[in-house]
Order: sequence, then structure tokens, then C-alpha cells
Amino acid sequence: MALTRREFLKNSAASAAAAAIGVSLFANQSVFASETVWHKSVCRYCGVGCGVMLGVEGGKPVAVKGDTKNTINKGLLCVKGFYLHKVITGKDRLLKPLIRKNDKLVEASWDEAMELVAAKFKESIEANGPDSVAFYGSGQAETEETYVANKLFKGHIGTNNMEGNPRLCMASAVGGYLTTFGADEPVGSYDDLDHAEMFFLIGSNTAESHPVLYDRLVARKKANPSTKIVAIDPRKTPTNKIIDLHLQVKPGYDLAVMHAIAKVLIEEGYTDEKFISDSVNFSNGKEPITYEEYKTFLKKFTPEYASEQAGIPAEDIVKAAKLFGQTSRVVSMWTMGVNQRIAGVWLNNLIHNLHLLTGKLGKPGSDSLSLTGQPNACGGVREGGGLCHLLPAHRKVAKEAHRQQIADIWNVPVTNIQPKPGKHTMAMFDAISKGEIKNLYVMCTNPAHSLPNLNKYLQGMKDCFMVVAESFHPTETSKIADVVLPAAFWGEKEGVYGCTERRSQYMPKALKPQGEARWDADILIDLAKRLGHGKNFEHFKSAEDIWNEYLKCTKGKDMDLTGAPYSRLKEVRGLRWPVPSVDHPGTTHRFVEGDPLFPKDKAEGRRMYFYGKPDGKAVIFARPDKGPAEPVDAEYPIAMMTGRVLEHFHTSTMTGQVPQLVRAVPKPYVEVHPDDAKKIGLTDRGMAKVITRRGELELMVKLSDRPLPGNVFLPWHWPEKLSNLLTNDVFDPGSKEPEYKVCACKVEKA
Amino acid sequence: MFIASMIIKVNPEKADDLLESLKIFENITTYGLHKDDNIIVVVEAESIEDVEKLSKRLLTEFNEIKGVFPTYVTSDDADGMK
Ligand code: SF4
Repeated sequence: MALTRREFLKNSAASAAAAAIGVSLFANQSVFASETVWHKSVCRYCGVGCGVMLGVEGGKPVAVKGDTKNTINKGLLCVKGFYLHKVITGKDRLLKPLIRKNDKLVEASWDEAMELVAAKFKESIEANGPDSVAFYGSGQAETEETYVANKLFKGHIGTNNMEGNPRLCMASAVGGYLTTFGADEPVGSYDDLDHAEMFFLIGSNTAESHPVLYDRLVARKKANPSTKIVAIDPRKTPTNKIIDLHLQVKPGYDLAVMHAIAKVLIEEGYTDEKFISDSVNFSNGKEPITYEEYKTFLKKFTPEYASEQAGIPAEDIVKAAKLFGQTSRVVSMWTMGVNQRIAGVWLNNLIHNLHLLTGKLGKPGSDSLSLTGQPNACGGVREGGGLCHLLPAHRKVAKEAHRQQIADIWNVPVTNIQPKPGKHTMAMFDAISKGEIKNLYVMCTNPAHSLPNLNKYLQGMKDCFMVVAESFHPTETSKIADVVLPAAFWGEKEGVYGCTERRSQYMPKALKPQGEARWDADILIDLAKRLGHGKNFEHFKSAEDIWNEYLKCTKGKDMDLTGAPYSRLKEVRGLRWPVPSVDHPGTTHRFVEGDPLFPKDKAEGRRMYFYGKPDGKAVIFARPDKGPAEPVDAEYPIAMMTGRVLEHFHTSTMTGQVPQLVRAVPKPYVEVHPDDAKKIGLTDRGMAKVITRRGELELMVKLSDRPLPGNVFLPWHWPEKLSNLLTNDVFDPGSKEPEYKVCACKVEKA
Repeated sequence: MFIASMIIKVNPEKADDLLESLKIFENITTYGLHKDDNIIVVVEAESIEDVEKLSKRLLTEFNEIKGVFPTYVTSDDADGMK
């Protein structure tokens, strides 16, 4: 029987859904038999790293569907990924360079814009030295783009004032991995999600921030109904739909809870003493301590004490600890709720502590897995060395041997690379405010929206000479720039993204850039030439050339990617490092047999050898419990939390291009508990004024029992109501990551 | 007219009831329950915003729905997609 066109389309759509879950609905599945060409790529949004297929017809992006062959998402996408093709042709795509003339941004030729940028940079470097300029990049840029920026700024201009926005989201996780295990990035991989019997979520609204991983938790619960999910979160979130126990802590008071869980694990006999004696040292953060001294330290952290600190029942803490102890395979996952805190590194350490005490690490179904917010924060910035103290492939500027190795690859004298770390993000923007840094190059990010306590930093950004390379305009940052350069967007350039689980994935160029947009790496190479450094950049004729040079940096390192050239990455759905040769399958678990770097001779029978530490032992830390930097008080009695919603990503530069996503959550709002609303006299959809020591905002009220009484929640995506006018810019002394997640506020009827 | 497919992830114990409930929606065609907890639906709507609103409504109104994952969207007016 002939199908109507409508029926055919419905069957086509249903078939796409069926393919995503591996079932077949109709005998004839050739539903996409049109002229659409599908390109295998990676989602542009979050750090989950879902495989997407970009559909192109007649040179135009027409659709996106999940890549059923990609083992991360097996064909599923969340709503953000689903509309990616619409972002490419979004209404705010910047098509021509802009330069500021008479205080207005006006169109200019590429040559005029680049000449101006080069002249300003040259002038400042000559007059004030290389540290008078700075680069601020992104966990959304490709590894190749960050690599070129690193080579230009650290190796040729000679400044380490090079940072990236992962400082604001992932730095505490890096600090945690480095201090505990001696090496950055996770021990395990997403494969562990399919074997875990318990998930421990801390400060992670997985359902909204990492929806496809959330689906994997749903799938795991289905496959193994006894799987338990415990969450520590100050707010109820959509993730609550699948959790078994929620410890709804007071914002910023969860360190004591982690210690109390550790104490119960030890007292109830859930520890793996052989693993501890083989593979663990103890430290109070200043000096080594013994296991006994650690136990003495924990004495104070009774469930009752932690209960008092965090405002949750002591029996729930015991329940959570027993579940952790009794379950043989546990995966902990966390994100900004842990990292964006004054004690972010410490809290990361305390999560790792639980896995080290119980030996639930380095085996299928057990891991301490930090979830990444951006698609290439791990690949480009952490691995690529895009922060002020790093060099490519997990090297440090402070180490002479590391400087020498990179200088050799970059073909520059080692003296070009300064041994002293540059300014971290908050110090950099502070120096900009003070006029010490005079020129700033911003690539693929929006600091005038995303920095905390914005009032303090905005004027500095306006006063310095700021270049913004961006695919969209206006953003809060491009609006105040002196030069705005149109950058090619996802799908219009090729490159590599590295996601949460150490997996590097290739993205093809499937489209011509819109307007006059150019690939960011190409713009940086152009700048290098105009600054007189062309010689060491002119061999970069393609993204592959840059990647190949980067691979040389990784050879023999813990993140060896030598076995992942483009030719291989184009065929596979990513590779997890270390992958030292082209016939190596990649590594699911580090520090154990099977990891190509595992030193069997040194390990002498130990199951895990943490080769980033001199004696191969990871560290359990006795960290003091520390509350938020700005606790509530009589004047500011309410705790203000910030976070995300499913439909938007970061500063909504991209999701704001998609009318569907804009309409799904159209307006900025503040979530207020009904009890508080009653006291203050607020009504649902009425207006409230949220005031902190740094600023105030009028916002629509959304009554909700998601926050506890005494707490409010603000999503941070919208430029018209910048929650960052209110947030606190105090930062973790180790990771330098600001405490976005909690500060004190008062709320009034507006 | 927009046509979008979605996988609705549900609580397996409530899946059959939910499948029935979904059939009440005029603009939703169900394509069965698969692998215990996946209901495939196709939504027809005047605008893509309506597709979006519906998916949000399903997620917030039905406790037994754990996730709504869009998989493909098309239009019977081909230009509507571009
Ligand atoms: S979960 Fe993240 S990577 Fe996957 S489709 Fe959604 S935004 Fe993209």
C-alpha cells in the first residue's frame, strides 16, 4: 500500500528513533534516502562528548542526529545537541570583522583588522614587555586552536599570561586529581557506568547538565535494578527522579559529610586494608601523616557533627556510607557543585578518599569520575596546556626539562618560555583592571558574562585593547571589544575534541564558513606572521599538521596520543589515551595492568601503581572542613546558589541562537521556596530583588520546593540579567577557581 | 507541519500504563514500547516550538517519565527545515 508523504515522514522519524535504541520498526529502513550527506562529528556543547551526525544538503546544514555507532551516546542526544545545526546559521552569526571607530563597532576588512591587532600587540610588547599582553581561551576551542595560541603566546611572544575558561569550571578537579593521584584526569572511563552498582553524585545535576550520561544511569538501573543512586546536592533537581537517597545539604557545608562517610567506612570495616597498605599514603596537606593519625583526625567527624554542619539527618549519612561500603562497585561523579567552591580541591580530594579507602578504583564499575562542563576542556586546555602554569601534554612551565622539550618542538630558544607561571584567570582580569595588562586576545568565550563579581572587572575590559574572536555577535564581551573577528563555527572547521573520559574525537569540516569567518587557528597563524614569528607557523597548512606537531608533544607522556593520528581518528569513534601506537586500542583504566604505562617491575604485585607519584602511592588527605567564604548572616540571611538548566549552555551565546531553546526557558528567574516567599511577600511570577554585597538584580520569581527554605537558586545563562553581578569572586587558593556556587544574599519584593 | 521523533525513557513498571496515556494525545503517535523502557513517539505540530513545549510538558507532568530524548525532526514542507 502506498504511503502518503506525511506517513512516510512519520515512519522516517520513528525509524531514526528506533535506530537510536537499536531496534527496527519497518522492513524498509531506507528512510534517509535523500541527498542529505551525513558527517560523523562530536557534539559542540558539553563534556559528555556525544557522537553526532551532521546532515548537509546542498552545502547547508539541515539536520543533526545521534551517532548510533558512538559508544558514548549510542544515538541519543539531548535537546541542545539536537538543534546544533540551527546554531550554525543562527541570527547572530558574525560575518565580517568589526573594529571600533568613534566608539562604535564598524565593519572592516580582515587586513585592516589584523593590522590593527598586530600593531597594538607589537606596541605594547615593545613598550611594556611581553607580560603586558594576555590570551584568554576556551574549553570549547579545538585542541589545534589552543595549541597554536600556546605556541604563539608562551613560545614566541614570551608571556605565560595565557589562560582559558576551564579555570572557572575544571581547575579544582585538576587540583584534586594531581594532588591525590599525581596525574590529571580520570582513572576509569564511561565503561564503568555500565558495571557500577552504586552511583554517588555530588554537586551534579546530571539530568540537566549531562543528560546523556543521566540516561546511562537510567539504563544501568534498568539492567541491574538493585543499583543505588545517592546524591549530595543542596537542591532537588530533575535527577531526583532516579535517586534512592538525597542528602540535601546546606550549600557549601558538605566537607564534613564526606569525612563522616569516611569515618563510618573505617569503623564499620568497609576498608580495603591491603589496597591501603599497598597503594596509599596519608597527608594533612602539609606533611605526611600515618593511617592512625588520619583516624584520629576523623574522630571529630561523627555523623552527628556532620549532620549539624550540613543540616541533614545523621542517619542518612550513615545510610550513604553503608551503601558505599556494602556495594562492591561504586562510581562517584561530580561537577560544578564541587569544583566552583573555595574548598573545591579539598572536596575533590575527599571524594577520592572514599575510593582509596575502599579500593573501589581501577576496576570495572568503580571510579572517581569528574564530569566536564565543556566539550574540550580536557582535550584542549588541560591536556593541551592552555593554562598559565602549563605546557602541552601535562607539562609545567616551572620545570626546566619540560620547557626544553617543548622549546625543541616549537623550534625556539628555551629562554623564550618563562619559567614563572603567568597570571591565572582572576589575577589576569584583576591586572587588566589595574592597567597592568594592556592587550587581551579572547578566543571563543565570553568573560564579560562569565566572570564572577563582574562589576569589578568590566571597566578594565572596556579600557584595555581587547580582541574577541567569536562566531557570534553581540555577546557581552564582543560588545565592549575593540576588534571582533568572525570565527568559523562547529562544522565549518576540522579538529579534535577531548571529552571527560580521556577520549579524543575527530570533527570534520562539512561546510564552508559563513560570511568571511575564518578558522581560529588560521587567525592566530596570521597574527603570528604579522608579529614576525611566521617561520615557526608556516608549516601549518592544515589542522592535521597542527595535530601532528601536538602528537610529538604527547609521545611518552601519561597522555600519549601517538597512536591517534587523523587517519585513525577519522575511522573510529574516538580513542582514550594513553594510546601509544596505532595498533593500541586505547586505555579504559589507568594505573593498572592493561595501562601501557603500568610499571610491572616497580608495582611488585600491587594492583594499582600511581606512576605520577614518586612511590606509586596515591594520597588520602585529612583536609579541614571549610564552609563557604561568605556564610549567611543577619544582613544577608539567604544562601544564593547558581546553576544551569537543560535547554541552555553557558552564556547562551549558542543556545540563544535557537528560538526553540530560547522559548523553552525564555526568561531569567530566581527559584524561591514558598515558605520564604510567604515571609518576604513574593508571589509566583512576581518580581523580586536579589541583593548581594556586590550587586543587585530584579528577577521573576519562580516558586519551587527545589531549594530548601533559606536558599534561592539562579540559573546563570542570560545576558540581560547577569547573575555574575552578584556572585563572589573569592577563589580556591589551590586551583584559583572562584566560588560561583554559593554566596550570601537578601531577597526583597521588587 | 513539523514531525519529530523522540524516545521517552520510562519507569518499566509503569510503561504500559504510560503508553496508553500517551495515546490520548491527539498529536502523538506511539510506536510501541521497546527494550522495557523506551517508548518511541512521533509528534506532529504546527511549529517546532510546540514540539519543544510538548516534550517539556511530558517530562514535568509525568513522574514515570525519566527522560525525553529527541532523535529526529523534519517537516512536510521541506523548506521549513532550512
Ligand atoms: S549530553 Fe552534552 S554532548 Fe550529549 S548531546 Fe547533550 S549537550 Fe551534547
